[in-house]
Amino acid sequence: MKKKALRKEFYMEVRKTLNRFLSLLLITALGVAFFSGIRAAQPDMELSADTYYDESRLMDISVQGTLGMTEEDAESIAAVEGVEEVMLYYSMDMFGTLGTKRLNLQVMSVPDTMNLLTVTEGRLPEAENECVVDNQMTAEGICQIGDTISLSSATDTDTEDILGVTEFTVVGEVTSPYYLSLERGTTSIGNGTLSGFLVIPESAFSMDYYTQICVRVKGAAELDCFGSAYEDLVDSVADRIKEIADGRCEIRYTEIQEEGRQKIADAEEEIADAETQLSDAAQELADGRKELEDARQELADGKQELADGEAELAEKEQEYLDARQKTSDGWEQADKGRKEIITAERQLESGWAQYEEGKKQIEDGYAALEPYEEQYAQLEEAEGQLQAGISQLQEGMAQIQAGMDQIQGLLDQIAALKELPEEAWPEGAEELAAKEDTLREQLAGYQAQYTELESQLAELQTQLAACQEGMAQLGPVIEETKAQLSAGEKELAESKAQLDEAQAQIDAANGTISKSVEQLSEAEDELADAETQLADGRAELEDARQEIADGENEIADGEAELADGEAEYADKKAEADEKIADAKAQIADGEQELADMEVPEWYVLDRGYIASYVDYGQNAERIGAIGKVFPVIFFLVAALVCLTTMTRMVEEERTQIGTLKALGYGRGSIAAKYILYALLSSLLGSLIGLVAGQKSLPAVIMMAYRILYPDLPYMLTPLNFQYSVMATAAAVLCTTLAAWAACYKELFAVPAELMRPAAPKAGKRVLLERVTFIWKRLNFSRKASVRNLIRYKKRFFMTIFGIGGCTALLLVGFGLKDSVSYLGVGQFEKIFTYDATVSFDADAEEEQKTELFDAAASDDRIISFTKMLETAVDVETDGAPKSAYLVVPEKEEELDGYIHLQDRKTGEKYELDDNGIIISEKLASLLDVGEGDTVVLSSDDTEHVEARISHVTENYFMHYVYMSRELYEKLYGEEPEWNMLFLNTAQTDEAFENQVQEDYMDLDGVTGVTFISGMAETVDDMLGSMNIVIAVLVVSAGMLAFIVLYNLNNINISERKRELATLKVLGFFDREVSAYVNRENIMLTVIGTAVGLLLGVALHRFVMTTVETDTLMFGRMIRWYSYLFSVLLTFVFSVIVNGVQYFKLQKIDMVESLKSVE
Amino acid sequence: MKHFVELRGVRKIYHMGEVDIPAVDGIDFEIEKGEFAVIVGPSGAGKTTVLNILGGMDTCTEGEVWVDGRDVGKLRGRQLTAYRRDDIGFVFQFYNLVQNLTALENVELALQICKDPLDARQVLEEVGLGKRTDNFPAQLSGGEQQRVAIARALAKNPKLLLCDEPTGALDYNTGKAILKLLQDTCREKGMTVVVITHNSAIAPMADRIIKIRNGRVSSMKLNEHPVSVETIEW
Repeated sequence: MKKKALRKEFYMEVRKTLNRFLSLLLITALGVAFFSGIRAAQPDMELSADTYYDESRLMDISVQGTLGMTEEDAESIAAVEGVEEVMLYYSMDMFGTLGTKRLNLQVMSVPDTMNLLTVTEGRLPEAENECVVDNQMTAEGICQIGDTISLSSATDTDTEDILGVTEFTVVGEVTSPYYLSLERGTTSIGNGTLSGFLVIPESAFSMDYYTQICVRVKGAAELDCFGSAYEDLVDSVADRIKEIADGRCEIRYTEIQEEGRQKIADAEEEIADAETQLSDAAQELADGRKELEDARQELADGKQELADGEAELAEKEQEYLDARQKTSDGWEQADKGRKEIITAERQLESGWAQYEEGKKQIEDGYAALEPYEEQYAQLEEAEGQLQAGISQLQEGMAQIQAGMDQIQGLLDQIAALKELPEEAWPEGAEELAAKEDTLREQLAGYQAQYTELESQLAELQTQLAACQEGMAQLGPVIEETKAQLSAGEKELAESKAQLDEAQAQIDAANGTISKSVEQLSEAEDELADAETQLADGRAELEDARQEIADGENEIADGEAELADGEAEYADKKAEADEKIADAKAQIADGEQELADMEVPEWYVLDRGYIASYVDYGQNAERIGAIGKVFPVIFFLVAALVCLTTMTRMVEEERTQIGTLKALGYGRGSIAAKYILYALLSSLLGSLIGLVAGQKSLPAVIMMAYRILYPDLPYMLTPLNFQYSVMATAAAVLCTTLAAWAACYKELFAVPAELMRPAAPKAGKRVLLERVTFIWKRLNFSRKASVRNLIRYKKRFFMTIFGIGGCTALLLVGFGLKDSVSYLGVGQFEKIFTYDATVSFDADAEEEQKTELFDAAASDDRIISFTKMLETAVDVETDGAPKSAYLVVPEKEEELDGYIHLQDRKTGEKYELDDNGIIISEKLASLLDVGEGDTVVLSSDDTEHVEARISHVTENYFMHYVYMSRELYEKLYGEEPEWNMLFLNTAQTDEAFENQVQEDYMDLDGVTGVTFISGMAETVDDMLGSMNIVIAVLVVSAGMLAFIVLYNLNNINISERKRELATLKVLGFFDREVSAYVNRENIMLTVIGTAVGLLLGVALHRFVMTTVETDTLMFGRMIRWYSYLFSVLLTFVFSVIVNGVQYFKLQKIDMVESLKSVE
Repeated sequence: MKHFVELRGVRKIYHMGEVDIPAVDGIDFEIEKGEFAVIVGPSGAGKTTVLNILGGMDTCTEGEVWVDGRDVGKLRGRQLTAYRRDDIGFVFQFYNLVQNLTALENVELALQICKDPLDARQVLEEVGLGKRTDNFPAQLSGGEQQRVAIARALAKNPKLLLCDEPTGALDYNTGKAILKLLQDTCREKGMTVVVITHNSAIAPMADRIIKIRNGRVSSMKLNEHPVSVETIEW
């Protein structure tokens, strides 16, 4: 601009109309900010995640094998082209116990080169028994640093086979790139929900193989991991890994077979050992019993002995006491004896005196007797001699007699013989008879001698008689005296004897006493000994008793021990038996398994198996989809506002344009001012907007997603070149063109015409006036308003568009929420009316299945259930196949109690029949098929069946193909194998469901229990972030409405200043003046809102189809209150703007009315 | 209060930065009920300020403005609006009709807010527009438009009819006709009419002539024999 004056005028214009300049700038800024900000949100979100993934070196590919992975596997994968590095890794779902809490945990080994953990608190584990936990677990208060968690296996595998250590102390909290989101995913263990993950040192694992191998691909980090270049690169490497998979699997298979056989052998040996141990234990127990029996016997003996001992002791004691009594009696007698002895000695002494006297008398008597005795002795001598002579004679006589008798005898014998016959004579008899005469002669001799002797004898006898007479005279005297003396002597002797005897007695008594004293002393000694002995005996008895008591205790103990031992043994035995049985069964199973074992397979997964990666990507995409629609509307409105503003500006300066033209300025110079004005404001606005927008909006959206993805550490919001240029160019172009268009008409007018005031727009009758019956009814001010509306057409359309846009945005925002949330409601309340599914292994034993069915049938928590087959199939026509679930109910007629098949629009119910299948709506639209078309169902590479579609059913989440049992049999040629139970339960609260879940998960063969409420929640959570997006939309819609209305109102007021001033002069109160204007605004708002609703519905439909992913179909409906809210909010914005306008109207100077028309 | 309208020591001072500019600097005059008063003065003398103050569109800095026994100089805000609404009829130089309303509707616009209005159609007939009631302003000539404006002012049945250069935008004959209409209205209805003009030629038709110069009343005189408009030439 060479013209200095013009330049100056331009600056002055900007300064003077700073408000307008700024408002233009602001509108552009907002438009650009919204456009570029929302657009940039998707790439920014992706960049943030990608940066984090790269930084934490998240694996690109995970290889998992059905039989685990080995180091050799890792080596061969590392050798695959394009693989940058590999990492062997453990990951396993296990039960954790913390206090009374049972947790389902994903247990991983500390990754060292990939999938790096970020420590948010504490440190990484150093010792084997340390672990770090998911920071979400600490955030949710499940555990904290310092807790000890014990882990146990959740599968058939023994815990010891997985872990060497089972107790872990929490030493830190971490985040893992595996989990960006709050969701920890599902698991096949426990109640099916993971509480979080737990990371332990690799050395704590005792498994003999790794569970997965992580792979990073060369050059992948440099690419955007959500982009297709990345996908292609990773896919190509994954394919190459798949190529080596079969070979590796074969090797692994052989190894495991080998190992398994070895293990079975080991186990058998172990069982044998265990059995031996058991029998040893039994032997030990028997020995123990025997010992106890012996001990008991001993004790009985001991007791008997004790009893004997006690009896003896008692006896001894009695004896002792007797002895003691006797001793004391003895002593007493001894004393008595002594006294008696003394008395006796005294008597003895007097006795001796008497004796001595008597002795003397006798000795005197004897002395007197002696002469008589000498005489008598002579006599006696004579008598003796006589006697002796007599005796000799008598003897001789006797001898002769005897001879005579002998001869007589022999003679008698001979006489007797002679009476007998000779022949009867005994031997010798003849000799005897011969001697008879001799014998007679001898007899006669004898008789003569005998007669002589008889005469001698008679003489002697006469001598004797004389002697004897002398003697008889003397004899009696002597005899008498002698008798007297001898009597005295005898008496004396007697008394002496008596005395002696007494002495002897005394002596004897003395001896006895001293002897007894001696004896007593001895006895005393003995007693003392006995006492000692007794005491000893007693002590001994006591000891014995104690011993017995001890013995008894010991026996009791022993018995108790034995009982324990027996009980223990019984338990152990039962246990051991069971174990052995189990082990045997296991061995059998193991053998069976080995036999059944299939060659392992590798699953080569890309990041698509990480749930948070996928849903984060989807969320970013959704935001991207929203960014494709909304900012455009916003931008359009902003452009229109700019256009109006510029037009107004040009109109206001009509006179000046005329003057300049009159002065001879060229069109270009004149237009330049307005174009420059627009350019400057829009450019500045764009710059501010794109910086502010791209820095703030993606940040706001990411902040919102932080709620879902709290572990994503980055929030990168770089300026996006493409969107910046696009938005700026569009904004500047729009505004500048608007300016150019606005002055285009004026520039071609003649100056004179421009100098004159523009003819005010003529009033016109509106169409409505023809409809008199309505028109008449309108009051005056309404009529005026209606006319005014029609009069300012540009304003009319602008406002309608602005307000309509606002309502539409709001409606789309709320509708988005309705539709999104309807997915959960529609799918899990309207379509799926069952409450839960129990999936079980179709190959499980019949008894297990029967057990499950019986349990379900007898469980009063379950109202009804039905068997189904649910299996994944690929559905295709001729394009790309879509994954869906094939559902075959056991009884078609019962299906409606669990799943409603119906038309979405008409609500017409469908039933399964043999003619065709029913497929879900989104699937049908993706495949572009409808009723009557045929699709191919393939479950794996070999099985393809064709089926005709008989109906398309309402469905929102995932794809489903429903088929009747008969059709299945017809198509597949076999009975469907039921693998699911669909349940209707009595309650749906969480505690109830957890209980049911745990109960059924415990049954063999059951692989999962899923509740609809849980799925609905998951879906809701997944889509919950939409709320933030909706909030952003609502806020921006509000801003849009405000800016548009405010701007248009300003223009309106400034255009009609004069009219309004006149009204004031006429005496309209401020309220009435604003009512006059507001009435128009209200009408515009009403019309705009109505238009907005129509626009919104259309837009909503468009947005929904854009935002949807393949497996989702959002609801197409908008709830009535969303309409209401959109309308109300629009009205609220409108009221606010009108309120602000009130003050503006107040400021209108009435003097304006006096001014001339410009 | 002897007079129907009475201004005493009215001053209006505009503060422009640090300088005080007095627009009117002590105006005193009075107008009796039913009088046709003309306030004349050159441009910038303060006529319009006086009119604004008298018409309740502005307030005075000092002084008293008595209208029918009420000091309107003391009124503020809503009272002032009510005063304009009920007591004042205003005729503008540029008519200030609402373009979007027909002649009749423009009159009705004023009647809407009035306590004791006259019949719009009748008033229009009285101002000679009985046949143009349904025409939009753009379809009327300047004089006709001004007649509509006068009708609008009269229909409110005001105490005071204030006219700001009513002929300023009109040609000579039409101007005369309008003045005649105003004079007739005054005479026939006993309406107190105040006309503000820079054209002193029309002064003889007035009952009272107030001349203003430099913010003060330079002279005020009663015209014992006001002439008819027809006789005035300018």
